[in-house]
Amino acid sequence: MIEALTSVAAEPGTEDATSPARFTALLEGQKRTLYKVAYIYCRDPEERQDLVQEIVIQLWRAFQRFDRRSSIATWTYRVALNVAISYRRREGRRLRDMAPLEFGLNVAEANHAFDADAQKSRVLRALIDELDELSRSLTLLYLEGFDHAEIAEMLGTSVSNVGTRLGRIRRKLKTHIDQKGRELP
Amino acid sequence: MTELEDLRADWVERDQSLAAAIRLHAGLLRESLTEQRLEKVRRYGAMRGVDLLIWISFLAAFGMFLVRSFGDWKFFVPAAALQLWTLVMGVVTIREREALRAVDFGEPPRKVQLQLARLRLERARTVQWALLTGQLVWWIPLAIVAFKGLLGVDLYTVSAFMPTFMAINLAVGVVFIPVALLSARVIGPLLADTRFSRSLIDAITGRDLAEAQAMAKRIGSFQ
Repeated sequence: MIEALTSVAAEPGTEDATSPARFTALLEGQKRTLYKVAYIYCRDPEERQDLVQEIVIQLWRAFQRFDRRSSIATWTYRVALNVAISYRRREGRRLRDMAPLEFGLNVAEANHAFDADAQKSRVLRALIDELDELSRSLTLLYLEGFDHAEIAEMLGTSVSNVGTRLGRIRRKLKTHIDQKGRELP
Repeated sequence: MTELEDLRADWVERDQSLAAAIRLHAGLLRESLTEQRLEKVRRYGAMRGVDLLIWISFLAAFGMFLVRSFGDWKFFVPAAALQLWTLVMGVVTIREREALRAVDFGEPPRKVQLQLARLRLERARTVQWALLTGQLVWWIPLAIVAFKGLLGVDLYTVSAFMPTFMAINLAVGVVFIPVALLSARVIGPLLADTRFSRSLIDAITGRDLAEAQAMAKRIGSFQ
């Protein structure tokens, strides 16, 4: 599942290893990831745009020292998740207050396309709203189709812990649905 | 019954529409990534430069005063207290900022978030002690040093009551530390709920510290 987008990152240290053109190619390939991370961490659609901008800036900074020890996809998820968790805690300064820049990544339409008012998306929203920051990351990676080993590698935890945590998330989901007292078709 | 697998299937389905919905304007992005544009983002970096300049200026001023007043202990001791406070707080702050800058966001979230939680814990401790001890050195000792250094006035001899006044103020400053800790907890909720008063009270009472500890514990227990 983890893609090796080796064409995006040139050898470290080469002249254009961290050029804006390569970075743009990376973003084009990973833009859906950025939006989905923002979706998981921000309930408010307008905030998602801010968070995506913060992720882009942090990706660009981190891109300068990307050493290819992990695939581009893994690295992008890690940076995006770390920024999102910090953003949620309001640890960092809000980008909007600091630099009203347009980073060329518009997610307004994605909010319409992805934020479906369907029962399953409402259930998912209710579930993730109850989860702590790292469990949200884990849920996202599970939804994205990664297996336990890949999730463990990305988050920096053990495979057994991923299984245990996913079990808890499943139970939470069941409890939530039981409490609502309705089943989905 | 909805299972996590059903939510995943729904997620994949919704994901199909995303590629076309997110528009990347490569030209605009490239333009935004130029040094001049990123400089706006780094504006806070320039503020760090100003902070550093102010810090060095204070160290230099207190240092010169210390050299001049060596042997004249009634001036040397308050200046040494100011110099020590400024030096320690500055070094701690620089160390914390450097540690924050060194955090590699490309590392696994559990590791990075634990690093950030520890840094936040350190920062909360630093701010709490800076506030509690700062009021001791940045009042009477500063007045003594500033009057002598800038105006050549010996504050001890301005009036007969002055040494007593200084001693009382210093004693009050020492007593203020436990009183502030206690009263901030009691009075804090009654104060106007402004962002400034809230952060000040949270820093003094150690609520920031408690939050940082809880966060570090939560992330640490993720394993």
